[in-house]
Amino acid sequence: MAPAKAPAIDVAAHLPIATGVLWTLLALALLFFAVRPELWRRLWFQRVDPRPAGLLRIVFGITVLWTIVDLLPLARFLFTDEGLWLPKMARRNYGGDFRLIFDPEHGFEHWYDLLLAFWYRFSLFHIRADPPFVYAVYTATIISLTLMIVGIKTRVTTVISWLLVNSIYVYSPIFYSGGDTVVRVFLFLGMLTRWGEGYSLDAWWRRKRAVLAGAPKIPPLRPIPAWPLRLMMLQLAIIYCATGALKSGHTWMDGTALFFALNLDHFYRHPAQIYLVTFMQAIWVLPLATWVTRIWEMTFPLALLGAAVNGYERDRGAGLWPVVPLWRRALSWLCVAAMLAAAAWLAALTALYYYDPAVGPWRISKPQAAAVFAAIVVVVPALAVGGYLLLRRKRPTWHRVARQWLLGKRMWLGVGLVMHLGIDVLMNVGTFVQVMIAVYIAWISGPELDKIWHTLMSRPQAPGVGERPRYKRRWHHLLRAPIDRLRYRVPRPAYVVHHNPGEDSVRHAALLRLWDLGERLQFLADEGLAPRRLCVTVPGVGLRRDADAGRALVPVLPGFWWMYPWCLIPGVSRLCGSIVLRTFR
Amino acid sequence: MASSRKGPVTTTSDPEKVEEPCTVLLRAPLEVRADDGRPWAYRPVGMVFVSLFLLYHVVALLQHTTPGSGLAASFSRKLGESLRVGSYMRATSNVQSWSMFAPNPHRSNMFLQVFVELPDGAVLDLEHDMYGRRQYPYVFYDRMGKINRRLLEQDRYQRHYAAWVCRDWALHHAGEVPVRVKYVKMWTKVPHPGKVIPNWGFDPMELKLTKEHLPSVECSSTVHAQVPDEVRARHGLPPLRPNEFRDAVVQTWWDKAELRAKTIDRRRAIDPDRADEPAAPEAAPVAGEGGGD
Repeated sequence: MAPAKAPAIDVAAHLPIATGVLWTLLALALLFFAVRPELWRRLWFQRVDPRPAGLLRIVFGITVLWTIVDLLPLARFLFTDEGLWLPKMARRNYGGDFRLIFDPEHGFEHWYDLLLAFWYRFSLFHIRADPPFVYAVYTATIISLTLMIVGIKTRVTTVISWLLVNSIYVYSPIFYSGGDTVVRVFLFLGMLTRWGEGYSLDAWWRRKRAVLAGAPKIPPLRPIPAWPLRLMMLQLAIIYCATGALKSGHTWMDGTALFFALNLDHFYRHPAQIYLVTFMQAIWVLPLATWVTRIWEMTFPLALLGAAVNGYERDRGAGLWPVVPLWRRALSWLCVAAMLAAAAWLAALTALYYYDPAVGPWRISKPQAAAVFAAIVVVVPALAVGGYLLLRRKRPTWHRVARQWLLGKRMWLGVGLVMHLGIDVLMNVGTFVQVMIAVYIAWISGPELDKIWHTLMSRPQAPGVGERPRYKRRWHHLLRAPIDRLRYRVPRPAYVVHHNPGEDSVRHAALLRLWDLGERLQFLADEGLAPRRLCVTVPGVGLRRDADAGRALVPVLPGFWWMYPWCLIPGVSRLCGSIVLRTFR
Repeated sequence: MASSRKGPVTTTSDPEKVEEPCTVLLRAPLEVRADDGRPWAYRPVGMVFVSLFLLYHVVALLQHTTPGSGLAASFSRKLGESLRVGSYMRATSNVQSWSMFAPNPHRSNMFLQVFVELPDGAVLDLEHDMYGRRQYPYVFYDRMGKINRRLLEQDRYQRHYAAWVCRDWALHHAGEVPVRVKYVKMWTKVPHPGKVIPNWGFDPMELKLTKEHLPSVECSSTVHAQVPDEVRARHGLPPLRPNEFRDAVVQTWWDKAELRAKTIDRRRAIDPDRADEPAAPEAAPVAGEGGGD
């Protein structure tokens, strides 16, 4: 409750009652969900489209792999007994109680101590750290992460990846950066997620077997429990809110924090950028960015609220929102009101102890500040709810705008994306930026991901064609072009896949649909084609056969995009095409 | 591919001319659907178990990441102790701290110069600091730069780092042990924007460099500053003399059992009738829980 780095103020007089109120708050939160169990169910136990989780596994997994490979040159120094720590010292300092239950000469006292080892801080390197062993574990980690990324035995390889990555991290924390902490906490949540159900070789092989075995239609993807993804959303909100709240220093107030951060020798990409940074500070771009960053970070939990409100509105619109008896609704609202009252009381008490009129935003006494803070805690949520309901009833357009922007992911994640990309351009902070952006995928729904693929696979309409407006003034056109190019899009011409009309060939051709995420393919039965052979008509290019057909499919099948650079090499290009075609044989 | 072509049939536009399964396979929308058709992810019993875990995890996470001082001190401590939040967060590798650039970003660049003093009195700069050494543009993340800075931010690491320097020097110089490792802290202050805006910037190499000697670390008397015999054997070095290796003290279950057995034996030797009495209190394990983010 106290601000970070607060001076030591004796709060003993009110500590017991504050503790009681905090316990009451916790009890009220539990009571709320006890009264409204259907909300708890909807919050955690919905089944959701597995594709965003699958994409998260791939992107996040690549970032983890990148982080681990990036550490490889330092592996001898950081993890072996020829480096910074002898295992005994590492075990003593960072092994927690594991140091007590494991003896290097005599092992564990009881067989079940091995289980306890997992509860205590435990790294394989705490047991043995000679270079061959460390490099073997490192190789196993890289292999396991690769299998997790491509989705082979995903559940098992994710658990093994978590264990091995933790072995690397737990040995000693001297090299940690913010990115490593994000990797650790999200890999744990990833282990709880059934993220192998989408975009994985496991799912591909399952569906391929079914189609080739005579399934009447392509087997559906299996939805997955939402709760691990919701925990990821909560974790992200905690990261931003905590880091924003902790930024309580004067440089964040006076707008110089980013200037200092960007001018530190340890971070800047090139010393010449100091001049650019100074210029941006002079024209007030950086001070503004400093304040926006802090406010955005502190208020990021509103994005969670927005996700909840938008979910409610979607279900309400579709008639899926559960109807519950009035007494339960009334009791739940009573819980909320009681929680607000308790929070207001705590806010007032906090102001009484910690508000400093000399540095606070207003020149008011402590009792006045207590009244103001208590009122804010009660009035702001009340006004927000009242205003929201009023907008919904009286101003549907504004209501939609508020839902899409103020409470929408596009604003909260969009600002984050811009902020992180800005950081990455101007600072080297390891893989922190990449891993933070990767975990945004947990916020995306299946239909939204579908839209993203279709946008990527489409092309912008020309001005004045279709719905895209043409502007009379050139500056107007230039300003609107980036948005309009994203907004008004049409599908690109389809690639036509020719296949033999026999059922077996159709089944093999149908497999292509599982990789065709942007729906760029059309199918044409061609009796002139031998069974199971495919050729492709590429728009504007013509018919491609054999390996050339496979090569031609690479740009429209995202699962093969990793091949694209190899396809530019003449000899390897045909090999890539053959691999693509073999995938569907 | 056969040369004779009998006219293609577009399965996407003319479904009447093809078999039904083909049409479905090539045209039916791809679905996301559960085999069992249940609306929720689990049956009631499963929901209860997962709910308990969710409650625990969320409460533990909030307790771990919110300030545990001031008016929340007692509540946070009691909640943490009763739920064993610290152990849970460590076991699941969820320990986290998000004080990046907080409460303020650093306003000075800090570097640690690392020297070794050899038996002949020579002092060599090992060039572990990155002051003026980094190649630009700075593309690949430099962990050693981060570690060098961390040695100053958390000085408990300095002794361990020096011990490694001693060992590493010995490993790469036929077992020759340096006398000591010397540290020099260097720093430059990033000027306030108000001072540099009139000049449109500054040259970081022109900033005043301040230096300060830090305590040296002796290689012969510091724990783990000597190459252990196991590693020496690996590199063809002769073993250390008895008691030359300064080992860390860690009391494992085996040491405790031995201590207990010895205590009982000693007591038996003095007065066999009192052997059933509990052993003497054991020495408390050496505290050394370090780390953190």
